[in-house]
Amino acid sequence: MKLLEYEGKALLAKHGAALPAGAIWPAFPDSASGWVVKAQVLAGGRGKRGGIRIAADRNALDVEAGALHGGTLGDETIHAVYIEQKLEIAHEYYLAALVDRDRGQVAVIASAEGGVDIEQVAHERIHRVDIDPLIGLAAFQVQQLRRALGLEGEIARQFQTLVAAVVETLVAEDAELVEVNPVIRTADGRLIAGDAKVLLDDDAVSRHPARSGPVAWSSDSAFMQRCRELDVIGVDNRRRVPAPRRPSVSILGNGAGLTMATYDQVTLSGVDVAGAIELHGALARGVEHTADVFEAFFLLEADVLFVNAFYQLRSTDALANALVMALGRPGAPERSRVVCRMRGVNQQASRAILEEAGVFYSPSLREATEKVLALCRTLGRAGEGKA
Amino acid sequence: MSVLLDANTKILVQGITGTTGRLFAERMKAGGTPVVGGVTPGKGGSLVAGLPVFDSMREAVAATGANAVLSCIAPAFIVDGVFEIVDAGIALAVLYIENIPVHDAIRMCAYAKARGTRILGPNSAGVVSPGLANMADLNDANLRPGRIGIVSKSGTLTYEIIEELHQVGLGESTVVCLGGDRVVGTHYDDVLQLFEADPETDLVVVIGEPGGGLEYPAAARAATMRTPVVAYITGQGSPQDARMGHAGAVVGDDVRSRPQSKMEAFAAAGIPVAGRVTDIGALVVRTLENVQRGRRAGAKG
Repeated sequence: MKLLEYEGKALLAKHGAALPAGAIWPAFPDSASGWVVKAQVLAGGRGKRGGIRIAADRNALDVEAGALHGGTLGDETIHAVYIEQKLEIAHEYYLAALVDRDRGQVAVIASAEGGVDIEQVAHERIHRVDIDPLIGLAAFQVQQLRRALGLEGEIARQFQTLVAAVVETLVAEDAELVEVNPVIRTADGRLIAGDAKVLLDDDAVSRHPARSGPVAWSSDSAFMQRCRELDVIGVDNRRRVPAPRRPSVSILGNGAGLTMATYDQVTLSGVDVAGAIELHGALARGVEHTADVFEAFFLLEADVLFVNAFYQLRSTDALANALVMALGRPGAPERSRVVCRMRGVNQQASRAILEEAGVFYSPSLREATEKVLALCRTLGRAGEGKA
Repeated sequence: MSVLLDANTKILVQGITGTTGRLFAERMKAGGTPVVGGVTPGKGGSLVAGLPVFDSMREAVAATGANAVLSCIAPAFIVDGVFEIVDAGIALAVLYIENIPVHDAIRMCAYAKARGTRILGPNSAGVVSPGLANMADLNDANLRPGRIGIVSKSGTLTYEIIEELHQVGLGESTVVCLGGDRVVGTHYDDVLQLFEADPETDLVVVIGEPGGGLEYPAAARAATMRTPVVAYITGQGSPQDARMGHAGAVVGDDVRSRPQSKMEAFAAAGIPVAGRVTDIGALVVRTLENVQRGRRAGAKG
């Protein structure tokens, strides 16, 4: 879960990072030096798109904040406007702590070249230390980064505090990334976190009861909202650019690996996928619940529906029954456009249930894929005929 | 032969009195897997599937001589549970549960590595050597002893690969599921090294996916191996920013984490790469034939 800047900064403040005085509009902090008016959006690069504005006085503050408040930045909803005291900048640095999944460790990354996209900084100007999880951040590692950034004296002491705060925020708040870019050295000799990009670990929500879990943005489709309610994993491609071409296929699978592989079977044959559902244990919650999942699946309104489930220890007749139940509900697609491949205990019973209901069944992924592609070819030709 | 499991493997189920643990214990017992007991604090002295239940790992190990653990405990208890497994000197642990906070996975895996316990998972479907031991959620009826090794992050996709092998008349030596989470205890190249040392594995299928970069050391290792390797990377067509049940399979901005980049790395290392999952059976057969032809030619020369 991505946090907005001000949410990330609140976490950093909790762990002792120095920040500019700030408040959510219409509140604003006292400042003798003017304000920075910042659109709170989830995407990066907002400065280039007019999402960060300077206000020298109260009138300008009303104008700039009013212009951003409740609006959009490109396609992005502006969730709030954050007003900060304007600082006199002497230098900008880069600092981040992140989970390096391949090493299974936390890494701290710092550069004397901040305020720009870190990917544009030359490799040798980016400095990194890896934290042994059994030891934690060691003092010598902070010194190593401090020397690399050329920091001395009072600023060096502030840097140590900031590095510790960033690492502590990452670990204590269960984040995968805490990026401060820029870290601002002010003209009067303070080191302050100018921005904050924080990515929280969705799997740690239960440890932070105040968090609501991944935020359901209002821009999500009815399909995605329904998937969340049903506790299955949904992918909706219909609003992606370019949009899926017709005839399109929707995929329902169990397990991430098999669902992705089924996806490949279709897309590598040149057919687009409208969206997908990964069942994620839904079957264990009963036939009725699974029928609701199928009903959500129908919301993708694909031309061909591809169900590919492979169970080792579970009977698939509950899955077949759930599908037939959902097909009997209003708004269900024609049965001839549904292709089922199910493997599991008692798959012969599933076959009987599906075939009796007029749904194509094959135990073979190869055969089921061929059926899906053949249906798409037929629909494609019919579509061309109409045009 | 096999990797990770052998004739001396003795398995405990951590959380044996829970729903998942009990199911595993019953099935392992019925299938002839060398399961010797289980651990649930406070339930010591009882029996599950005719197996003794102990209050602690140390007691269970002392009484049974167990050296492997299938852990089926809830996320809230897993960190302490793994520390206890490691402390009891267990050599191999499968962590079946998923949705572990990543910082917990980091601590668990680091401690296990430092103390010499090999961890599969979190979010691992397990490890199985057909006919020898089944520490996985795979049905014994769907397995066939053979000479092909499989290493994968996924569970369900692995079922499909096994079926692919069976369709071309091949079977498995050992199937190793690393787990679909972001941070896992064992990596592809660790398992490739084990397969390389196994005289009864003729070929290894590596199943990669989007996210992270563990496939790169695997490609480098595969290039140096005498045992042939074929690779398949799933998620080529799926959206790169979607989390489809594997926390690990979300691609960031990093081009290295994309399936296409990983396929190129294997191809550049001289490793045959399957496009679709349904191409794997034929590719394995072809690769084995090429190797045999090469060896015959080598013997003549």
